[in-house]
Amino acid sequence: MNLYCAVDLYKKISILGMSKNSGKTVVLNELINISKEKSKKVCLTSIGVDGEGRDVVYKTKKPKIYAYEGTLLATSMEALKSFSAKYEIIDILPFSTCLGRIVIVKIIRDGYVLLAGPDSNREISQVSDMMLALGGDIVLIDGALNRKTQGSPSITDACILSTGASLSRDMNITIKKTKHTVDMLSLNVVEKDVLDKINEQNSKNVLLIGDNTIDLDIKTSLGNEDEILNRIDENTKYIYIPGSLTGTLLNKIKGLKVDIIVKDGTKIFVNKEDYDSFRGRGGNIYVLEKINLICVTQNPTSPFGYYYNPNVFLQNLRRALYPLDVYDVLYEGVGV
Amino acid sequence: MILKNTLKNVGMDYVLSLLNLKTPYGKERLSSLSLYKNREDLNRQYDSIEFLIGFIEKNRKDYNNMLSLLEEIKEIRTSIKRAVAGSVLEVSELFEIKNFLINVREILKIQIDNNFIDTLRLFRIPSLETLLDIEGQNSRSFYIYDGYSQRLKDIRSEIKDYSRKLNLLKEEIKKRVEQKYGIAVKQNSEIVISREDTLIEDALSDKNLRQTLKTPYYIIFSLELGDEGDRINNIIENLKKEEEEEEYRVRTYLTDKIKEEEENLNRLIILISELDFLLQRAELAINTKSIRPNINSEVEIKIKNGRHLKVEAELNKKGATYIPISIELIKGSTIITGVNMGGKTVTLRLIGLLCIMAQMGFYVPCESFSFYLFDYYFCETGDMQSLDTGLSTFGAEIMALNEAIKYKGKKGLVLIDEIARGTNPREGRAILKAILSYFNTSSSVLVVTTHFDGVDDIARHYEVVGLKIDGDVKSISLKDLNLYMDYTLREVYGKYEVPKDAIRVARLLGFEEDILSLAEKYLKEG
Repeated sequence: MNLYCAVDLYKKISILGMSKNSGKTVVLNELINISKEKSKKVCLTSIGVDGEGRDVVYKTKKPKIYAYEGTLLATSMEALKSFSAKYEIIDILPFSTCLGRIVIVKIIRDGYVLLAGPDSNREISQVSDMMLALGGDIVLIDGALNRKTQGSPSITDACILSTGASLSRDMNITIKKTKHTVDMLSLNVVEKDVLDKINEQNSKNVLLIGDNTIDLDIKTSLGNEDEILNRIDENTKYIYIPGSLTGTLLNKIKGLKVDIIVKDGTKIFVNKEDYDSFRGRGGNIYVLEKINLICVTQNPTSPFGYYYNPNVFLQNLRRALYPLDVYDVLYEGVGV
Repeated sequence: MILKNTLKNVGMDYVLSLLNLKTPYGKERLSSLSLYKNREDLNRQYDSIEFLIGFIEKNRKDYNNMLSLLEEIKEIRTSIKRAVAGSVLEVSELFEIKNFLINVREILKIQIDNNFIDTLRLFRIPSLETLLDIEGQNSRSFYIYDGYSQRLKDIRSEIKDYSRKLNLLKEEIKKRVEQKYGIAVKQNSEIVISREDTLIEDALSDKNLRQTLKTPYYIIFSLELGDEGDRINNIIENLKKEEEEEEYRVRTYLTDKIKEEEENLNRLIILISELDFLLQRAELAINTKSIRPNINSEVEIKIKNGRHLKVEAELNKKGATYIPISIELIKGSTIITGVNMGGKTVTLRLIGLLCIMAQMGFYVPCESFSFYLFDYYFCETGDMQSLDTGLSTFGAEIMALNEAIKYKGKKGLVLIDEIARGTNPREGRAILKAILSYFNTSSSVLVVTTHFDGVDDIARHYEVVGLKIDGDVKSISLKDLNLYMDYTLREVYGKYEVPKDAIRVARLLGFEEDILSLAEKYLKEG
């Protein structure tokens, strides 16, 4: 699906980047412009702060997202300082980030803005709904694909993944990594009765699900792999991991006839080799919430001074990700 | 004055945890609680609670609206202090103060609609309200509006004009470039041209294009707006600087106006903190079926069917019912005796809790209640043996009691659970007797629970009624013991022997019969 259709079809769209400089900002700006052409009132926010806390405001380059008059946005108090756009404060919320409390502002003169939104799903949903209630038509969310944020694009109606040359000097590696991420984001939702069992527990801990559901009272699998392994018995059919899933745990469980359930595809930090080997021994990974990945965008330029042939990159990526649409937002446009 | 550990020992911390204060100002009250010393002040508190109970019960909807408005009230004291100290307030701080004033206005509206008594009413600061809503939009949002300064308005309209000119120039060049190369220019004014494009050589020498990135496959250009573009950009940049300076001037002016209202803002904050705290006490009174205390002019306490909220909640959780307690106390010493697990300690805590609640301006969970405005409170419930001090129970007791005795000249409520329980009975009894006679000569109320008998000649004496078990009940589980316990108190007159129910309780709980028979034998021998 191209970006024009996306803007018509969805109310909340998130953009995820495979790495820095993968062209996420270009996509976001394109979406802003398309929305403007369609006379849609844009709302902007991000899942957490992209980058290292205060450095974002004080050390890095100028903000690159261009917002037009009338845009609503939810960002942190400190981020306002780097705006070149003029804004009116609509509300100051009790949610805080490392850059201060979350504010909702309305742009009253075009200019550049810096997004540093709330970190948790609940808060992102809340600010998005607030902005829609204030008269917004579409919420664009700058997403994160890293272990630091808890928020995930599962709260949006649609998600766009951007990838690019900055991932690797070798185009084939970039394509392989992108394909793997797309696979993780497209994992199937676990069957309903298991889903119900997990929701019933309403727990933030690791769960073992078999005939009974056992709450292990462990918040994260990181560093607790052996303990989890010890508690698994022949009854265990699934392990639910509330936070990040790593290769360490996957390799330990491999071959046990136990499937893994994670919240969504952004919580999986397992490389392709480990995943393939897990799958090869009969293991599956399921998710609680499916992410609606609508297209992938690519940027053939890297900031390190090497470039892919844009046509070859586009063709190969399209072949690898078929039937998912791929666009080169820099070179080819947004796929009209 | 409330002596060490007393608040916790009587269970006041639990009562405070039931309050759901909405504002940062109200929450602060919890860490600076004090006793009312003046009868009129305290009666005014009760009057306010009485009024608020009526308000809450009559108009739940307005009450809930008031709570949500209070919840919206943010901490602005730092900003006020900053303004007074000469700093210039940020736009976000001005936003908070504007919203503070709007919330005050909305709360006052509800207060007027409900005929609030004067002492509870907030007030408006109209000049500041108008100033922060200079364009009369009546909205909660804020920025440095054009209305603050003609100069600001002029600068902004100039910025707008020049931006339009710049845009026109850009559009013109964009159109030219797009027509020539047949490629769309992006919003950030960039255009990507393939090296295989026949026009690439033209592009490289085009004065409307500037190279920004060269790759082996394509070149990224950005639109070059030329000297005219630079000229306009410079003007806009300078205007923006001027705009910032003018905004700073406006913020300085607004800060000054806020500084002028420092006293009123601080008065409002005190009123809000009081309103928040009173509303919560009124709500607590409703939820716990509490009543207005009466203040006696003599040192006297009368409790009719008083309930200890924490104990009651714990029992309710277990599905058991709490039996209310009645007791009357006067100046001098009183002892409470009774069987183990008969609720002596709970009674002691109840007396302390009700009096402290009342003197802090709370309604009390009783059928009727009157008390005296004490100078100090002391409650020691025997669980203070502390690892930090390394003292034994007895040592800790003596140290604590010594603290209470310091205030002999004042009127206090002194509550002690089983003095000298861990000591040999002969000395223990002697120490207890001495303390009882000592307090008989003071103006304080001393209540002591004890197992020692033969001390009631120098103190008033209450006894827990205790076990009420038919002869045919042979055994009881520990869990069910309270079902057979009558926790009510009766006053005992004249010489009296402390009841010896311990052996009976032990037998019902199934203790080894051989030992019990021996104990009975020794008891008879004295």
